[in-house]
Amino acid sequence: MINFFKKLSKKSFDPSLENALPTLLDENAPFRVKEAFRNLKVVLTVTTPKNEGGAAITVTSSWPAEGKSTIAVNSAVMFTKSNAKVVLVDADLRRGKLAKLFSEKSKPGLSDYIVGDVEYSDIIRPVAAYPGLSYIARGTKTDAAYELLESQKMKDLIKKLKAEYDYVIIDTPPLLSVSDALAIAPETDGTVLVARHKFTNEKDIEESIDLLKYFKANVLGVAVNDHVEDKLSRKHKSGLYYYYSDYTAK
Amino acid sequence: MERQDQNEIDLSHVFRVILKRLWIVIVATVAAAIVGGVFGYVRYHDKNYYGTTITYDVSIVSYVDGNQQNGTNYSYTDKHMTRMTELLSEDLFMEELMSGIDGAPKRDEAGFGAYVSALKSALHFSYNEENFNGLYVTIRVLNNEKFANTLLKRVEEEVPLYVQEHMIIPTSGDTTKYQTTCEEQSIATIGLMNGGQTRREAVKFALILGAAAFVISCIAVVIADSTDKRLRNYEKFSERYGITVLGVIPRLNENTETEVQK
Repeated sequence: MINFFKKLSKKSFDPSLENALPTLLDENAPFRVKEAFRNLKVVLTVTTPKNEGGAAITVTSSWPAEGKSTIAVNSAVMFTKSNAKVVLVDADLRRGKLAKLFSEKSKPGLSDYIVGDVEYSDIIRPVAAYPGLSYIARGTKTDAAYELLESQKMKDLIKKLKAEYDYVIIDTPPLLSVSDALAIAPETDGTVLVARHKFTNEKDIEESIDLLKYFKANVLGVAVNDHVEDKLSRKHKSGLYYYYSDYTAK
Repeated sequence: MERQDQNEIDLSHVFRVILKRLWIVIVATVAAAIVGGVFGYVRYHDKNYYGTTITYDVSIVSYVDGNQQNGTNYSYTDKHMTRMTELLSEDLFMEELMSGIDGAPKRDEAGFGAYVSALKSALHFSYNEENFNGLYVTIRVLNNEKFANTLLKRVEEEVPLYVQEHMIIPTSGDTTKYQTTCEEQSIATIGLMNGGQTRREAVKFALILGAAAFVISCIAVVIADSTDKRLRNYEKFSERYGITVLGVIPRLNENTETEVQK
């Protein structure tokens, strides 16, 4: 009975979602999901301007638990499938969980490098499962995240990474919670705002985009995550996906 | 033309919203219909009215030198018939009826007024409004068939006498005299007057409440939808705010409500 009323009421933010790990797609992931990430990769390839070597893309969202880390990680993986050299940067210096996803420790990482505790070579971690993919973990937790991210050392790091990699994908904290993303977004070539279907308020998306534009970030657009089709169109599309997945298998 | 198109789009949106939440509308409608049906049943299931309608032919007979004449030269009007029904509805006539009913209180006894009121509510007098010669007496007694039969007997005994006695036509001074006659047209028997009423009332209330719930739930669903500002239709959102949608990532497992993609 309680579940019935929960279902009736609008979904509200569940704080426990904040602690959930990003979802890294494997070979068993549904065809339609893998195709969606492939499409996103294609669109990002076309829309992101490339200056001074590679392209740096900021991935952010309005609020926590909207799927920005999932989008960032899986987009990076998709880029590597096109033989691109990709580095994933966990710029959420307060709660970043990228290292946990790869079953490693967060230290040493980005924050440690910026404060000068470690060298550049110490923070670059190649991911064995995905050739061409490396990542930089969060590092030591800090409350002075914005100050570290707006530092010249961070700007220099982005330039260095762009020179070395085809794509630099930076996973940042939510925009309307903390201002950390605003320190990085203007320094990158494009910003992807992640919004979760039937979860993120449209006004919040608009506000986030206004904020990014005000800080002179190049907003590439919105990536809609966790999209659930209506029953009728789901039936229709699942048929199409089945047809094409079957076709590609042959 | 543009305005018309806009209206059509809005209407189709409303229908889509209702279809999407049709289960809420159906549940509300069925629940209200059940409540209405139960209400109608509870309200009327123990209310059985026993009675009948007796038809009297009221006419005027003229006598000349004591001999009945063919035809009359005097007839009742709407005004006379109205007066007749008023007379029959008065306390005096009720008292007349009570005088022949076992256990009915006398004028100076307790419960007299209540008994008169009960009788008045059980009896209804009307007349034929086309030719003013038909008097109708309807007996309607709640849940007491025996008393209905007693009342029928008393009405059959008293109404003709009372009408003939009180509806007096003044003589014109010559040898012609007039007399009112009141004769029952057919044998009346007491029966159940509201057979099937419980079912009808249950259905009626079920339909009324069901229809009301249907309309209210449709309105509620549309209002709830219009107040929901979450991102639902990304194509419209993109159009409305001029924001590019780079990609749409489906839920990993659409059957799992709690699936988390962070």
